[in-house]
Amino acid sequence: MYPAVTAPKRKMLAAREDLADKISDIALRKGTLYDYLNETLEEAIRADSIGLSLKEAIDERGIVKVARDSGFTFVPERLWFDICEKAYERLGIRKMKSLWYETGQWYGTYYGDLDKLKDAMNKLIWDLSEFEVASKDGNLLVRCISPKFSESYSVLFSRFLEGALNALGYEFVDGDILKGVLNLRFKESKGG
Amino acid sequence: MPKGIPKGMKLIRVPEDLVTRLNEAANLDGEPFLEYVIEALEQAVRAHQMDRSIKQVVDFYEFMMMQKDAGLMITPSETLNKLIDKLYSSDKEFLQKIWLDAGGWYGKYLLAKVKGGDHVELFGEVLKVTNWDLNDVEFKREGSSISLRCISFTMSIENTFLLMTFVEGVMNTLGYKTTNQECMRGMINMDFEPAKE
Repeated sequence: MYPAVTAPKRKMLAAREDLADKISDIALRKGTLYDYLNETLEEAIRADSIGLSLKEAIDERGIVKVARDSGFTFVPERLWFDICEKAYERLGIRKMKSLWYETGQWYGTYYGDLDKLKDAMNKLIWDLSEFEVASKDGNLLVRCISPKFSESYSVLFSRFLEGALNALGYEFVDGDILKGVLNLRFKESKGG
Repeated sequence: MPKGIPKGMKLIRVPEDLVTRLNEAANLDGEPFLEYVIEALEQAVRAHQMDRSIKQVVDFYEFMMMQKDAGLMITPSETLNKLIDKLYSSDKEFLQKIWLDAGGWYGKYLLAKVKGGDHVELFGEVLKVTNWDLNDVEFKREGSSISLRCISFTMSIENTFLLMTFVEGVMNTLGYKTTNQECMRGMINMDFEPAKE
């Protein structure tokens, strides 16, 4: 005798009509609506259980795509800082600062907009614990904190920002650069 | 339309236990049940527009969090390549050492972070997802031996060599010794066997 097979009990769930229709369309291409909903809602619960919102997860995917499209790459941070220190020693400060400035200029031109640059810095540079840009008395104040930056890397990163902001029409006025803490002041370039 | 359904709403059928768990999750978040479900469905549509399933999106996010934890950072590849290019002729051994050490460290991270499971397979995924210059990564098992083939159409010989060194560092830490390795511009072939205790 075969054991009795019982279908799982089902319940009806109310959803907005437009959304239910969209979900139906997607589900039809993948199998059944029932299975698709089952998988989707199970994943929502799984994401929630690890303290993650689905919106956040999808946003992150977009950010990584942007990083890839704009010429960023992953590198172990210890390796990156080691190689920068070695290059600093071998190539000298002028060449290194010039390389970071050029890279900054490239990204400033690529993003072409201060808000986009700010957004990219905040989302892509994982090492930054703080990155703020504020306008005050006709100046642009940039504050940037990273406990992981060495003294020399802090100098290089300030040149990166200078290059990026120059490309966006701002010129460097003055600033404090300490190990891991950058406070920079820019003003709009004439004719910029 | 069935009675009692508000205008502009539709009923969809789901497993009863799933509704119970959704209810519990919504309660824990302090969100009304209906809003919780609608948010999940809206995000499923968004994921679909990116040609991904919700499962792929959540898996990817977990993976990225793991990379952050493992001390990876995102940096301009052009700058990295220029530095490698400038240092390679004078400091090849230094570069080789830091790549090998970084690989060893990453292998230890995988062992510590992922209890159980196939670490080699996971490392293959890491290479595919985080090494955007690679067009193909293939780990093959034959008995206890493992072979790896990586292909890139854009990677310089210097970067290919350093990637091979990084892979060696990871695999050695995962308990494999390198029995063969070949490297040419944009191509790596490596064979491994379990290291004897």
